[in-house]
Amino acid sequence: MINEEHTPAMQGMFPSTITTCSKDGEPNTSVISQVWYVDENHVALSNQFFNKTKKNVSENPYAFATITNPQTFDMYEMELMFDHTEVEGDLFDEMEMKLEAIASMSGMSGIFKLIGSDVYKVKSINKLNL
Amino acid sequence: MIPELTMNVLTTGFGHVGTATIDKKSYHTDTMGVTVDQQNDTISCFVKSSIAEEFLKNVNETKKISFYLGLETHEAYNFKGTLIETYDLGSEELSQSENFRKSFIDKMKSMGLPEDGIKKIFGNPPDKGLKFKVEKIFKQTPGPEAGQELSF
Repeated sequence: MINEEHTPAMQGMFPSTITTCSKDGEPNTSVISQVWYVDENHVALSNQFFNKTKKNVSENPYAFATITNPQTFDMYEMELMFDHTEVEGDLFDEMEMKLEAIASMSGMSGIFKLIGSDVYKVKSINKLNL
Repeated sequence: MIPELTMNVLTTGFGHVGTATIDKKSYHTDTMGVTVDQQNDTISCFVKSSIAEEFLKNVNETKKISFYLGLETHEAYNFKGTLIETYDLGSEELSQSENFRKSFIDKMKSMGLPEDGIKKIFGNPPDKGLKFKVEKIFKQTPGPEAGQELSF
């Protein structure tokens, strides 16, 4: 599903947008530093302090994200389903290192802190016709 | 009354408006300018219907809105509320959006991004307005106060 057309949009150059929904049907839209490529069917989102997003996907696994290719400025919408959280291991370590780099570049060192790597199954990915 | 401290982010920030379907799936789209009625606690945000078909269909059904706006300084707020109406933008709002998009393109150019690329996203005008009643406001600036509800 995810292929080389999409991966440049998963390098954290531009923030990504994510919307989730509570069990009561209340939406929550937020911005995250990076949608991380895991494999062709999965991505990971950094769980830093966006507690509402985390709470929502714990109750209702559906999420919607938009990513942007920093070279072409193409945008892609992804329907996601929360799968599991990793708090140690290679994925967590790589995401933590990248997050520290993003924090350093954006003056947010000490504020951006990875709590967990939330892995989502990608249900669909579609290019926006801008 | 929508707090004054949120007005700079509301009028100059980059926005994303989200909704949820009846079966609790979520959608969002980017916004390209807003008008704010502070006294009556309403916000109208401008979207492009050509890239927001699913969003518009669902927001008109459930009426539920989460509107995130942030600046490059990371100052950000989330305005939650209920849709009042969707409507075709008039000349005044289109002009306001043009000024907003021009300012945004200039800001992005000053950060070293290519004009052609930025215009791919911000070059074309929005055509629809979404007016909603603000019921809750949350601070979303990263840090210990993220998620704090603002009273108004």
